[in-house]
Amino acid sequence: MDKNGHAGNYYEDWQLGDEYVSMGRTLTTTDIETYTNYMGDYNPLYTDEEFAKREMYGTRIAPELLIHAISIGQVSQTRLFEGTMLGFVKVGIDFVNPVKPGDTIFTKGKFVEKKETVRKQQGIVNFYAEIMNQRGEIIMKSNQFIAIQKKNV
Amino acid sequence: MEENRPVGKYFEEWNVGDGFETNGHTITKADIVTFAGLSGDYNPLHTNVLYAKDSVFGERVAHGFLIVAIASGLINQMRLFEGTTEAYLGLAEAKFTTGVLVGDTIRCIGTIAEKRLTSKGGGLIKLQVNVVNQRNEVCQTRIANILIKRRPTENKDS
Repeated sequence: MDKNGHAGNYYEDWQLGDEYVSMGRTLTTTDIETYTNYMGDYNPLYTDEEFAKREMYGTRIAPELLIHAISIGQVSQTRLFEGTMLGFVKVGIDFVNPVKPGDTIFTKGKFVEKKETVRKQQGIVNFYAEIMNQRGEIIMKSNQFIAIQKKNV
Repeated sequence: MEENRPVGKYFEEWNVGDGFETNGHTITKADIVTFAGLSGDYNPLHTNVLYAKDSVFGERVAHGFLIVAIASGLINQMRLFEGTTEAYLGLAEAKFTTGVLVGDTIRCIGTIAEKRLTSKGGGLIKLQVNVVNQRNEVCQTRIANILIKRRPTENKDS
């Protein structure tokens, strides 16, 4: 823990084999409504139950970017990146399965590799993360390159 | 004139190179607070003025994925995908090049980079999305992979 009370790993602290698992969060129609209203993302697959009933998933689904945002929040709450994460550099995400209201999701991640950069105060860590639901189905898979603070800067 | 067709474009109505530019959105403190609440991401870069003062931005910065979310909203408000999105398949090569601060105004430039049929006859579009600020600096780039509905009268085997 650093002087600010931040518990995050510095770049040097991450080792091959390190993993994390987050808490679970149950998705509600309120989550969907709040997100679509505040982000102005009115795709009828998210907002129109009559439309969504006739489509692939049979009901309104949670916006994919909402699920990914919640996943980032879940990882943030593990405190492993607290006060040391400087931002995303590059991300690739596959949306594999939908999340419907009432589903519960959690995130698990695995440290893959670290990379030095031209900036001496930070390095890049690569994580592979999966979002899972309560039935053990993969909701999303992502590869995340994240800039992390170095110690003794 | 087709009756009861969705407002958005069918797969066959898009051409590689087609482009659009969205309206702009000025980022506010409320946007950052709302997104921290929705996502649960309270990273002090976004929420703590004292911490952010010492960061490379010097002030609270918007979450990268807040900007992705707002950008997605701006794109959907164009109505070009309304009722014709079959499924959102993912983001590829999403790069975060410039931080977005309170008071910045972002807009999106979208270009159809590729279109092809999937092995199951689905209409796959790769949309190149560039998010730019009021100084025309590119803040984010990515490819959005989207499954778009085929026009109903088309022979789906062709």
